[in-house]
Amino acid sequence: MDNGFEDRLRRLEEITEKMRDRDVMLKEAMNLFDEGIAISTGLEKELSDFQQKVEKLSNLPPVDGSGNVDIEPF
Amino acid sequence: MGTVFFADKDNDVLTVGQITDLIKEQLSQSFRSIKVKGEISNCHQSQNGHVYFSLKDAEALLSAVIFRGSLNRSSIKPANGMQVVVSGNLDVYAPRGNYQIIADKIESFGRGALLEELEQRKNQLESEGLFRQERKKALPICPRRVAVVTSPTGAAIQDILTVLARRAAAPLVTILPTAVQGEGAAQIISDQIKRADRYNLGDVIIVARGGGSLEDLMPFNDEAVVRSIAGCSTPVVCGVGHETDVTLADLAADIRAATPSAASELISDRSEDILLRARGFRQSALDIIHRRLLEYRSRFDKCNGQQISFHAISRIQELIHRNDDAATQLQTIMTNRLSEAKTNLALANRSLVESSPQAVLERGYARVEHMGKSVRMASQLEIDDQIDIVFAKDRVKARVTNG
Repeated sequence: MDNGFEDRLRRLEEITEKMRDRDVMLKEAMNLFDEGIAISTGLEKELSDFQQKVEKLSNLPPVDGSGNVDIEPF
Repeated sequence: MGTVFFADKDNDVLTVGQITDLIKEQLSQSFRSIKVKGEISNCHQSQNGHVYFSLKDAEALLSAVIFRGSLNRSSIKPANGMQVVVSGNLDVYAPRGNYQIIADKIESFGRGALLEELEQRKNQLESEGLFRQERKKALPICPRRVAVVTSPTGAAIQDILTVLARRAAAPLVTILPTAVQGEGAAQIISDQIKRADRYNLGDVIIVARGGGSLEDLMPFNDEAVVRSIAGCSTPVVCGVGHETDVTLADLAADIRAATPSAASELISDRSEDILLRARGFRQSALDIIHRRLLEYRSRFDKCNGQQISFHAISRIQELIHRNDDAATQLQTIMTNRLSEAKTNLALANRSLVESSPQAVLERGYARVEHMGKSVRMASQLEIDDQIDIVFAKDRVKARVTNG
């Protein structure tokens, strides 16, 4: 359950290496660049989604999970 | 056994002072030294350093005092809620008309019993396998939501939120409010842990409370709390008390953090790292591409049209130059040879000319002919032979006279 963050980071590291490789043609390097930017933008957005978001459970539903939760900002 | 008073006559009337004295005497005779156990309440210290408190249990209350000297000698300092055994003697404080125990010594009775009980509970739960390493779940690497079971007004939640406020990749926090000490707290803590798990309120659960005494932390040693933690399918991080406090909840949790702050750092570290690396990628990728474009361009420039003809021309010129030199050299050689040849020819010619018979005749020599043939030696002739003496341009006839 890591939302693929680790896999995506690994892909970014691969892309960086390939872009540096002189055997990789410039055109492909630019395609890789585009892919990398898309991945890093996605990661940035997903990871900073919840900054400073704090809530609290405001009711006491049955402990067995059969009820509904009421959530309020904290 | 003291005097027995039975007042039924008018002169049996006593003053307040008198009856108080009698009571005082009675008490001190009957109770030389006593040990009383109970819970401390109403504890306060006077200006002179004496501590006044009450010892209570379910049935009754006993006033108590420990004077400064005894207090200093005591290893236990009285505080409300403590379960203690007080040693001393009974006294009557006449001005207020109450009796009290004057304590020589206060011992922690409850703590000993408490620790004993705790030890037994720990062994029991351990034998059920609830603390085993194999049971412990791995934490999610990048939890996006965290459920925190803690007091909404305590220091723990503030510490947790302070840590997370500094993180760009902080997870969503859902607090499940609970009491964290005192009577009944254990049940609420246990229930909130279950709710956090059953309603899936987080990718990870943090159970948190700030520092406190053993008594304060007791709810986290409660069996119900331990069983709730053990029964969670969500990973649980326990961050209770200070670094050195270890409760049974800590043993049951999947990860024990030393403090609530440490717990929040733990669950947000890797996400923060990944976010920073994702941002770092953007910058370094731009640098790499930029550098490669520059290289590409400079190689391309070297092959550009103008540059080519300039090069070509200069190469050709160079060749021409070299060619010229060669031509000149050739020329020089040929000229030299030619004049040499001419000279030789002239020489040859001259010598040819000079050595021709005519040239010889012209030099004054003559030729002799006899009967049309050249005569080379005298022996070829006899006396009276008719000869021709041939000069360069004319001839005379002659006769040989002697030989």
